[in-house]
Amino acid sequence: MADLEVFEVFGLEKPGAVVSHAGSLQAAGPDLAVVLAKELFCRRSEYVELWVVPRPCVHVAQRAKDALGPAEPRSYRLGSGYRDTVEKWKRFGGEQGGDR
Amino acid sequence: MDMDLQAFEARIARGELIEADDFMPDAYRRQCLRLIVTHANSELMGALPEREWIPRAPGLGRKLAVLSKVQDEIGHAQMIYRVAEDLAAPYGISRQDMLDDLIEGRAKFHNVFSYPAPTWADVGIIAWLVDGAALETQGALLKTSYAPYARILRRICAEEAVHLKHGEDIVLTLAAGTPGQRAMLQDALTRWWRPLLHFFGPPGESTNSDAFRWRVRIASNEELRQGFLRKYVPKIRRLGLAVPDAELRFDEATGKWLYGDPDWDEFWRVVKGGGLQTNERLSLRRLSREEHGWVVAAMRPETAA
Ligand SMILES: [Fe+2]
Ligand SMILES: [Fe+2]
Repeated sequence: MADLEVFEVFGLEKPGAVVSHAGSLQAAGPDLAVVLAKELFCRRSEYVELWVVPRPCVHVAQRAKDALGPAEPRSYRLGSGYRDTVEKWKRFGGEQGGDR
Repeated sequence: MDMDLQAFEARIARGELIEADDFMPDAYRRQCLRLIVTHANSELMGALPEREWIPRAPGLGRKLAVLSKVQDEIGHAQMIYRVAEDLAAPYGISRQDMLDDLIEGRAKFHNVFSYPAPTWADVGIIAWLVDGAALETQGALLKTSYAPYARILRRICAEEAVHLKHGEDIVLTLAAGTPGQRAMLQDALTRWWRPLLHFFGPPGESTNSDAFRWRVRIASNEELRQGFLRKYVPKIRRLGLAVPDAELRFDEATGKWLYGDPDWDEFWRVVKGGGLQTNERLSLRRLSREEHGWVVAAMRPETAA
């Protein structure tokens, strides 16, 4: 007896939303996986779109194991690394600083 | 202590969550698995007392609500068995094995689902108070360290909260009804009170254990029961219903509800499979499996392809 496949289910909660993980299920192929995903995760119209992905197609990298992101903090990659622009703007008049 | 175990303990101590593919000690895997399979079994068996009421629910609105609650509970079972399957994979245990264990009486499920639901008021009390009790337990488990279970519990708890509202609505309707309806409601509460106290398990288990340190378990049986009593006793009394326990009172000194001995022997009898309807419900489950076998077969890869 052939085995059922495991599918990871992802969804969009509204149009344009970020795709998020809903859960997983077992099914014989993607068509039935979609049918089951609707039954399991969308009984209350939680999603406008559902994706089912065979689990072996999901390849994972983890921060702890796979050095996701640089080892050292790199503030110059982040907006927060440029906070002193507020002070710098003050030299050019006005109390507020910056363009806020 | 080996390196892996040390690293695992450190992750737990930092409050990190454990994913299915992460290293976990065998004892952690087994504890999670036991808890999660029991939960899945309870969702599946929990649908049965209410399923009996789908054809008999008073009115189309109530019928649809009970129908959708039953569908939710089966959905919960599906999602939780899925989490259990991943945990059980290293042992070569499949969902089929878990369902076999359940049907053949080798697995546990919640004591409350071994009791009959003879009247419509029982349906209200089950949805309000049994789902309320379940929400106490599952709400605490949102803090579990096993991430796949925590994720699925967020969805489940949201749906249990709807079940509770549905139960509350049935109870409020009956409580505001005829004397006959109020009497029916009181009878149902009287029937369910003891099983509800049993729901959380006996008090006094040690919380100084791996299960608590590893956050497989979050709250003790008694903490959960006290949470339940704090929420629901005042509401029950507000409805003018009597809790069938002469010793039940709030103790100001300890801030706890004190209750009479709920007969823990009865609890153990039920847990070990001697409940009023344990066998009847399990046969119903067996029957469902036989009758719906064709659906499962139709959805197998060799047929569906
Ligand atoms: Fe449920
Ligand atoms: Fe429920």
